[in-house]
Amino acid sequence: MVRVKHRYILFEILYPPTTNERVTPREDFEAFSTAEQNALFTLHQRAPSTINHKSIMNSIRRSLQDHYGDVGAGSAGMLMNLKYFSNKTSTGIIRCGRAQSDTIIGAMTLIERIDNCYLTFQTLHVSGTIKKCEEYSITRTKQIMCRIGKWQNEQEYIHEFEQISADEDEIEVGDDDNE
Amino acid sequence: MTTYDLNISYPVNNYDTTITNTQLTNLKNIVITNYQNGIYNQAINFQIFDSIKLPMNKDLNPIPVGKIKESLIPQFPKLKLFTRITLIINDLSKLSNLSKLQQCFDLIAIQPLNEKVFQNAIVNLENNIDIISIDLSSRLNFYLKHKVVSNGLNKGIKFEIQYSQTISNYISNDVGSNSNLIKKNWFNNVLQLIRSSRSRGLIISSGAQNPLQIRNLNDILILLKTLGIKHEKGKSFITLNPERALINGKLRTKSYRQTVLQGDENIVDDIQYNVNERDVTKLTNRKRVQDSAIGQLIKKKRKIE
Repeated sequence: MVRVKHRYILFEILYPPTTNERVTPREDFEAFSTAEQNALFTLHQRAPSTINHKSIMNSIRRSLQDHYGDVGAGSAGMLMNLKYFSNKTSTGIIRCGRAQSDTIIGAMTLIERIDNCYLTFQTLHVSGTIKKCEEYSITRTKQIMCRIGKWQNEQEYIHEFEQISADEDEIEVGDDDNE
Repeated sequence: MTTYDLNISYPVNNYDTTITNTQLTNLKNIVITNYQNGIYNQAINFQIFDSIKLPMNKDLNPIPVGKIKESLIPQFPKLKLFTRITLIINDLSKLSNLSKLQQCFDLIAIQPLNEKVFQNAIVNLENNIDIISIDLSSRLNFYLKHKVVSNGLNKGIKFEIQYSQTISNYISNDVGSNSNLIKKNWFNNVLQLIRSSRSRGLIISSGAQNPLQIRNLNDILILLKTLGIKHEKGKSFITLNPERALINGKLRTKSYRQTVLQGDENIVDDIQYNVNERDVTKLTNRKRVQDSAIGQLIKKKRKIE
């Protein structure tokens, strides 16, 4: 008996600045290119509440229908489901059939907005197990934190983080799975 | 490996008007969004029609690269900016001042509007242009012949795929049917380009007019993979081919017939500047076992056995 094989796609939502004042505040637009911290803070924003499991799935399905037609939407869209999405870090994991992962990434690339929120999808990692996706997500978040903060390398950051967590009894790491 | 984006469109396309502050900030934002996606080498593209006359007593390069570099590089040290001009050509006979432009821009590209210009440009302008950029959003009024395209490829001309045209702009979102047609044309034209060039000598660039149109290049490669390009071949579209185009452009002004260079300038290092220590150690680690003395002895022993 052969088991059904899957692919897990780790993705991230970025929020680039626009010239439209109603979408991006004027200060963010001006400050974006002045420092790396500002750029990172604007790109890796916290996702607004309108972006949730349902709206993400809907927009990907619509994009599949638009660009790959009934064949694409039927073969790729049916098996696909969103395993995890965190509004705090705007990262998520999609599970899909192994043969259709390219089609889904292609459709995700062509999305430019969800409702009134202008954003871009970026695929970070594709893997056969969800564990590897989670591990990659953690290392990447650490790297970005190093770039934002005062830490020179990862070790320093981890060292400080461990000290903080030793002080407090319980620390909340990430979001709960909303499933 | 270093990735490149050789087309970030400059918002002004004539010599009379100057760039406004908002447009300049927007341009910087595009560059930085690209930078955060890991693309450090970028070229700003100035696009004009062939009917526009070049000014006699003004600087031919209106892009304030010095100013942009000054404000960005202290914060973003890995950034490398180049300038590029794209001439949209309807009639080749109007084109006479190419040699003047070569002094001012790092890269020279042309956008032919009909077949005659396309063929003549490849035959006659071989040493003067680096990139041929075909407008992928409208239906081509000529057929891309393999013979002509491969002739250009042999002469070192690269062909460009701009991906921002598929990502419909949020400003023109209300014309739904039109943007659908643009996307259809884009996919068709990209397939034509792949067929006629046998997926050699292609460049992927953004052509972005605002930061929303910037995508991760790997995602674009996967999108092209669904059209039938192999991932290994696609890798050279974002690394090797743009690098060659840039070196070609640089050598034009600084060398004799693009082969011999005088002086001790290192152009290649100047372009792909981030061969940092980590990369060097990686290269040395790759040394094969057989190259070492012990390795050779083992090999000999195996042969005897």
